[in-house]
Amino acid sequence: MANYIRVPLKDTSITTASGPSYGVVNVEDVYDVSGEEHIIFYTDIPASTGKVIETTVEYYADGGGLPVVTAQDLENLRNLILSANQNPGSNPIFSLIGEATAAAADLEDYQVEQIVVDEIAPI
Amino acid sequence: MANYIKIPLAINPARSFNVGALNGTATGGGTVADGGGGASAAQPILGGSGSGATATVTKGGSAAIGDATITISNIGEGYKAGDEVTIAAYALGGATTWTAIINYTILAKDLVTSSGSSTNEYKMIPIDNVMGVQLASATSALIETNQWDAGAGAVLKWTVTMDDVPATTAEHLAGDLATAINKASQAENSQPTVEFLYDAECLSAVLS
Repeated sequence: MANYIRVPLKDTSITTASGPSYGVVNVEDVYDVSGEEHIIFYTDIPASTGKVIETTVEYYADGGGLPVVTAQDLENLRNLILSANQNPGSNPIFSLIGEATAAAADLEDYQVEQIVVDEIAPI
Repeated sequence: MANYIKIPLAINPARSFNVGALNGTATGGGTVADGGGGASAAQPILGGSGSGATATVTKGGSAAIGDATITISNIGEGYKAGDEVTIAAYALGGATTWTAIINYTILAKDLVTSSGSSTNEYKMIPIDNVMGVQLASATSALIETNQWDAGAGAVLKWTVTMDDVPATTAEHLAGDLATAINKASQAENSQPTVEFLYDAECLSAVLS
């Protein structure tokens, strides 16, 4: 069974029909993460030759270019991925550290505007 | 054991026409003449449950409307398969004319594709290989899997297509799908049904 984490979606200030509006990211088989403006989740799932499946979580980041993801965020995320896989169905919410101290007008910078699955060379 | 979400498919939802020729056979219309040749000016499609659609008429091989081609110009909104609609008589010269009201019963294939029916109420989506939901638009979202399609050079994904009325947003559409995936993964075998904000209606969900 897949294990997910949840990330807050931008432009969903009202609730969805069935609850708060979060995107889901499958973190099963994820072995590392990287990024500054967005976060790339690397899996060990094969794609084309020499590449693996990856999921990119794109933060709004002031319309692009703002490095909202810190090294501590990535470390927190690695720990959360391990926790999510230890506790199937827990589906924890991942929030960037900057969200906690952001001004109301800047909250959207720390929210997700796109989730894209593709292939990537492993790191 | 696979874990699922269920996407409710709208059953004959009110929707728009497809651009192009109608697929059924019209009746009435009196005598159809070429009036100088070519298609008539676009005329309002009246009646039924929708509004805003227009169509041109082009004379066929006889003076009967059944041989003519009726082509949608403006797709309108709110029509259903089975709606009985009309087009008023049209006598302006220089193009196809007809002397009486045209009657037509809308076929499902005249309208935007909707795969739901009384015997196909849900699309079952297995979520064990789902990686996330990609936002596309207010009428489309992609449920992306971790299954690589070498031929396409991309992951396999479910394209969820929504009717444009009632409208949702790209963000809420993705959020609603993600919420159901979240529920399903938290409660194995619960097989939750996706609940769409604003009562948005799903037309289809196709794996490609």
